[in-house]
Amino acid sequence: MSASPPIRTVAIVGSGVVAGMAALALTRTLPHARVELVTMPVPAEALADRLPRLWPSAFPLLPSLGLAEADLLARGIAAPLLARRFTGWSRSGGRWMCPEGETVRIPGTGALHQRWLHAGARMAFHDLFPAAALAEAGRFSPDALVSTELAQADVTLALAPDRFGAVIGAGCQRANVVVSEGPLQAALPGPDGGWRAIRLASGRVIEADLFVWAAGKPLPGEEWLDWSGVLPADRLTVTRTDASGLVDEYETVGDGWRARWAHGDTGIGAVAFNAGIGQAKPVSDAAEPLKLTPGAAAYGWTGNLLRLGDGAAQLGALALPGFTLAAHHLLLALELLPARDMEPVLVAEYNRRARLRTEHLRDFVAAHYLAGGRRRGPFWTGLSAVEPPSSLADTLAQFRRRGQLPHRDEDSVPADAWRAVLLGQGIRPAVPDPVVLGTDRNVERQTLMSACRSLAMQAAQFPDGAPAPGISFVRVPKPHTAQD
Amino acid sequence: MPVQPRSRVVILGGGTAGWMTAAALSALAGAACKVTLVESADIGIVGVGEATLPHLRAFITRLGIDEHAFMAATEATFKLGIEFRDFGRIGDRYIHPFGSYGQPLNGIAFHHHWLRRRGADGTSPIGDYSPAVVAAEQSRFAFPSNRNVTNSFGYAYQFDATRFAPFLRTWSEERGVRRVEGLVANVDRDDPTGDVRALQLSDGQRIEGDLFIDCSGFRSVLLGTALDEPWEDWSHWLPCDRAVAAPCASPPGPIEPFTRAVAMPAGWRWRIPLRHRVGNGYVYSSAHCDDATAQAALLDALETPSLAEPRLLRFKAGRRRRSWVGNVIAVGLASGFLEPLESTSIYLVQMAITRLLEHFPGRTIEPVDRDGFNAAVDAEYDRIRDFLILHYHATTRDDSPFWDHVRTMRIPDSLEEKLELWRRSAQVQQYGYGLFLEPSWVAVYLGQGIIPERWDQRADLLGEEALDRALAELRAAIAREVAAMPDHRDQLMRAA
Repeated sequence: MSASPPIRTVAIVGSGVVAGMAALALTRTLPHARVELVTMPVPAEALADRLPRLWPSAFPLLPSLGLAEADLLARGIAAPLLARRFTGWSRSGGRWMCPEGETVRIPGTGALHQRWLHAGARMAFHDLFPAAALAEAGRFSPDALVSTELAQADVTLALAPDRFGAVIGAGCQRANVVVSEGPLQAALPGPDGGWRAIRLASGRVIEADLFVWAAGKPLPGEEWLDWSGVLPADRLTVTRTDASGLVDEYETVGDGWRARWAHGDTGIGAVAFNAGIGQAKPVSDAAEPLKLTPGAAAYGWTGNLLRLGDGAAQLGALALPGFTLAAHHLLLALELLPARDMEPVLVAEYNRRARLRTEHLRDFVAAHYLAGGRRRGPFWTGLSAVEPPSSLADTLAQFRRRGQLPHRDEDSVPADAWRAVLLGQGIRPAVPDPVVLGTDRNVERQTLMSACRSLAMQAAQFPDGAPAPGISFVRVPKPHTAQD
Repeated sequence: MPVQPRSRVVILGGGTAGWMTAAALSALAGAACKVTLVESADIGIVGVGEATLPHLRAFITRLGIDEHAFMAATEATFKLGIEFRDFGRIGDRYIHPFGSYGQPLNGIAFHHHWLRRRGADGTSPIGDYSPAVVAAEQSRFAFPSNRNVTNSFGYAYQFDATRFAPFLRTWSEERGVRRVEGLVANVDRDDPTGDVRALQLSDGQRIEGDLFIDCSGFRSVLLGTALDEPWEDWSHWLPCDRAVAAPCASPPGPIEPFTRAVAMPAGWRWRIPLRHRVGNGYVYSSAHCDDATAQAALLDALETPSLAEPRLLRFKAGRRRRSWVGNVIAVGLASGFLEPLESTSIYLVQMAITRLLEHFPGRTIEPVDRDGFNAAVDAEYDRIRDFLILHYHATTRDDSPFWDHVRTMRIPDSLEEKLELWRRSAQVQQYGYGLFLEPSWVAVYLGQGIIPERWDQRADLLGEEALDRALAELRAAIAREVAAMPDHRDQLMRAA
């Protein structure tokens, strides 16, 4: 079919779920290729591997792994998360949520967030999300996601790394992925920033058409774009806690923030801070802080070398976007997978799109810090002086002006999630939307409140807590529309 | 949020762009602005866009305009796509449909699977997997439905553009738009900001405003002349700079639910079937063809005698560097021009109106308003420009100096990258926003003979037998459902 023959050998370096996921997806995509996984321990700081969260935007990767989100939930490999809740992040200190999915659809004129702004309703913006109604009620059932009124709800999958790793490992075994004992001792350079071969500690040399670096850290000596200025939490302490619920909790403290994350059958407590500013009280005296290096490799793909996971980009612990970003990068790599000669046009297109996706996700996380929220406390005081990346600056300027978001290709974050964060942080547009101005505020307020009450009633019908393993459900596809 | 007084919006020009803008602002932003439209009966309108894109339906729906009333007033027919003849090489033809080809299989876009089986026994042209193409070929039309496989298409209209503006004028004036008859004698500007404060009309009237929308067509009275915003010339990529147009009577037989574009020695010729006549025109490069030759070629191609004297239009491809400067926003031809090969003229008006609503400034304009609007408009123009250039450049024709020129010219880097990506991998450069997404690029690439070296490797994971079965079932389902659609002419009678 092709002038250039397909890839026949792949070598993946890493031992975490990112490397395993890459091995499984590549071997399923290239059934005639020899895919070899070279073990190399992932550091504790590799958040994409250690704390994998799969956001709905990256669910399209799952079929490439032979998996489905319903199955992951039913088998207890993933727990459903309905929202992230933030306490103390806005300037006023109020609580707000960034729920999964979209806002409820209410007939009327104009965008819902503009209607909410115009109505001056007392309810929070996030109350207009079906997922928030479920989260507030502490109730969830997969049936909720296919019910009429709550159909705009969605879930992030909080993957249990050990169980997910076991599923991926079994898949790799079935697909005849070869596992070789590492670690990597040296990489022998090839053309265009790629590798000709790798040498293992055992002395064995492995040549391959494609190499994947998924070892959970940047390649030694590689140029690393430093984003610690806009993602200032560069230290993290974590400890096990009791089981968490359907919501990830984030609360600010003077030196940074604390989180309580769902994590399989248990929970995780975390404290994030900046090493140069101070140290928040650790959740446990025994917990050693992890050193995070927010940033990204200058290029995700050079020559025949693809970087995935924390070796490609690190966006920090807030919202735990690392695994989702790795999944998006892998999905893009499968879509643009070159032939053996690594066509430069495909590699360039991968880098263009991967960079956009990485930067937009960075912007989303950075907006939690830089959108004019909390400024009290050593960690927060200096953030007023931090200049956002130009793309985020543009987003903030547009939203502050009229509540509009610039159109962005390759954004993993739904527009409603952006709105939830920016409105939650306290931004109120300076100029009203002309389309909603003509509607009666009182009528609109009643309409919105009625919709919220209805959501709450619908949510109350579902069972408490997370679903018991064994529940299965069929999802109604929710394509992300390019143009409303 | 502070309540601001309504801003005063002055629209200059009463053509399609002017009245579309007036209609949208009065219907959707009436609480935020008062609209005055200045036009003169002494200035003719270009009447752009006899053929439209499906987006116009959203515009009409959003404004609450009754589709039947609109279609009756403008003698509109339905449109399922554009047929291109003789572009890739003489004798070729394909339809660029409003809608996709087939459906993704295993998450992989349909065209990859089709490429894999291209040439195999039983595999038919890719158009057979598009409900819009199959229906267009048979001159049938039904409204898209969610109940069957033929739901993957959209439709637009072919209409008498000279009747659209009057229709919208009546509609807008009923909703409070103030119309002022007059010619602009002078543009009063503020010192030192340079903002326009008022239009001084030749009869002495003075029309003041906060925001001025320049819909004065090619003359670009405010943005081009008064504000002297530089022109970015794209004629080296899109050399057609003239058109001669002549309507003719509808021939007997079916009314085709598609527009036809036929490549000519120095450009291309359009054929747009309406209810009461057929619109025709020859778009050509004056560097490669004189007016008399173009007119003769057009008249020679008409199926029935011309109903009017041929009308000559002059234009140049390109755009003003910025569409919004100070308190002046250009919409439509006053902002830029891209030839009508893909029926984008009215879309560009509609797009600018949508962006204006998104960036509507109130009485005080901030740079962020202009920046956001201009960035969005620029991106649209650039992407459409590349798509249009592709139609000319993707050819093997060497039968005239014009085709030699466009075949061998240097194209924008942005298009070169897209072409190379397609040739090597059958991948279409993805973007989520804007016009002409993946199915459109696939239609033109394949329709004009650019067959990629390979396809998405994941398409090979599906067994050949299963794939062939899926293709045959899809093709049969489309054929069956199109056969059940009414004839286009009958459908128009029902809609009348």
